[in-house]
Amino acid sequence: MPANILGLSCHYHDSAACLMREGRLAAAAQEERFDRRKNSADFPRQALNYCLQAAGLAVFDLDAVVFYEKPYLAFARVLISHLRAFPRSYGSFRRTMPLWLADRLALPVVLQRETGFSGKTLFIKHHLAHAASAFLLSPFEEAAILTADAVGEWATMTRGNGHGSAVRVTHEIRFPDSLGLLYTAVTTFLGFEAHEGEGKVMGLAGLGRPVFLDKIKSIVALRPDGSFSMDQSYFDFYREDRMYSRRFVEAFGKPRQPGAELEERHCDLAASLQAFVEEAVICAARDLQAQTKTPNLCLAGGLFLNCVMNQKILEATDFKNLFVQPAAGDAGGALGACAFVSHSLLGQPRDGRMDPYLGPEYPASRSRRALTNAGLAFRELSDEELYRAVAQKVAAGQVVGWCQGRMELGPRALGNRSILGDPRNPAMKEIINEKVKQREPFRPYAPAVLEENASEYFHLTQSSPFMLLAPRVREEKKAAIPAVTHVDGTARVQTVSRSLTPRFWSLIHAFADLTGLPMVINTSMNLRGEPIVCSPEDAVSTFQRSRMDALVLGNLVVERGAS
Amino acid sequence: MAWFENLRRLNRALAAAVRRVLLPAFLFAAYFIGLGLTWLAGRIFRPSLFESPDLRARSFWRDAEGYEPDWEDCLRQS
Repeated sequence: MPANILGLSCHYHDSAACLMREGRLAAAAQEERFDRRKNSADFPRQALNYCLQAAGLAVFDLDAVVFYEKPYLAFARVLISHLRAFPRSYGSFRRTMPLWLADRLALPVVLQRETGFSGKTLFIKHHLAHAASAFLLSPFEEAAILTADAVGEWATMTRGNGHGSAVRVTHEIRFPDSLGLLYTAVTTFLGFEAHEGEGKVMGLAGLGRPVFLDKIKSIVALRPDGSFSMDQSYFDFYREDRMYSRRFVEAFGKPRQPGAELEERHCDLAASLQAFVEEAVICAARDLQAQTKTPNLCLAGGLFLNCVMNQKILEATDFKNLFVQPAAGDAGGALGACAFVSHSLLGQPRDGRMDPYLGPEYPASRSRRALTNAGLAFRELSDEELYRAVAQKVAAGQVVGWCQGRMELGPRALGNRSILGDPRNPAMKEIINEKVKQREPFRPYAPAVLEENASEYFHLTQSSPFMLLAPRVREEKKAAIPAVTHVDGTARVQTVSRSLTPRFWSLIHAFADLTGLPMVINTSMNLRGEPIVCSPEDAVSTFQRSRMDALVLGNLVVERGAS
Repeated sequence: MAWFENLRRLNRALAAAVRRVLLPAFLFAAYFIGLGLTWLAGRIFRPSLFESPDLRARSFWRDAEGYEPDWEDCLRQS
């Protein structure tokens, strides 16, 4: 029985590789962390090599490689869509066809060329990969499953259920009706980059009022079961530079140019979009709950990286338990593809434990070398000294880079490739923005809170280890943590457990001993436009190109100004 | 072996030039002739391909197909 299964996702955005041995996740990483190009779509050769290396395998030891899509079906959709939009789809045709002809339709050939692998290559549908990643990696024995993203082969949203090791997808919504594409179209209308600015629109939504909700509903017909159909005359998914039509501009006014000042109507449009998508997904979830009668819901697909929406689903439906794996977007497709083959096809048992720390880990000798090569003086501390020293720095208002152990999978830093700050300081957001992140001022920073104290500060009914829920901050605590409370009174919480993240937990515990507050600000360690750091060299480079006050690599501490 | 390197360089430049000319020409023909004729045939013989969905429908969910593959199904790219 095959035991070493490699999953791959690539060609659109967020390329990734994942390796499962005997049904257990051994390693997974996104290509962007290695090639240093954000949302890299390239064949994940470095991520793949890392996975093999981490598991101590050669490519010949793999029993199967599984891809997160059926390329011929996706190609058929692309051709038919271009046919329907003839002749205005020529630009898109000219741009995309070379990509299909070069690599996308010849994955086994590419795989052999890149790695020498000549064994079995498997293909599963895109949304089945999402559904499998959502359910098979969850702790649930049975659950309802909802997936949504821009588009897979044809499907843009699916619903179904999981039981044991079986995943069933029962219904789908098809392209061009897509909540993911709707969100991206409005993202580009608001002057943000597609596949990158959606999170910014989610943050912007908190500043506006949903005054355009009725207008959006007149464009997108929504049914009580959460299904929907979009009036395509408002959209243009074949344009290179934008995804909305002239009619959309007539309805919502002039689009915002990138970098232009944000007006009230931009915030209102973001709020209206967010409200509409929440309503659609809540309707779909309620209908699914009525059918499946289970208290458990698993979500996957890029749309469910929207933590505000995930929280609303939990609050507005009868589902009691929600699971969203940390790489809910396309990178997670590699996990789902792997998990489907391992558990559903080969019957290997699930372990029900999702550990997001699946990336590379570097020895202290490598960190020492990186620091020495950069001419940076450092101190080596014991664990206890380290937690105390870093807690003191954070409490003193410093911005500290914190790199420990294995890198996280997914778009959020979860305490192993993080930048830390003090949530009590109302100016901390501006300080982190100025020293490192250069983010838009309306975007909030997230708190990482000890799991056992989370409900004291937030209206949280379950843990949120992957930072994919945004509960309301308790009224009486808002003043205590101004730096992580968004204008709408919510916070994108990470609950930190001792069992999953012992070093990060110990650090926050030390901060609590010092200040009485069991949480720190946790944001990803990267500069604007760059992927999260991976190696000690990446971290050192980020430290040198920013004004971060200190950098911690394992037990090594570097302070700015010391050389 | 400098002459061999020069030959290789020339060969690469020629290949790139051919690609620059031939690929766009091929894509232009494939789109406006291949897809264009198909579009015309579709309009005449299968107009349903171009119709918008019925917005009066009570639900837009469709039955999902092809989501319960076995090992053999997974070997296929379609």
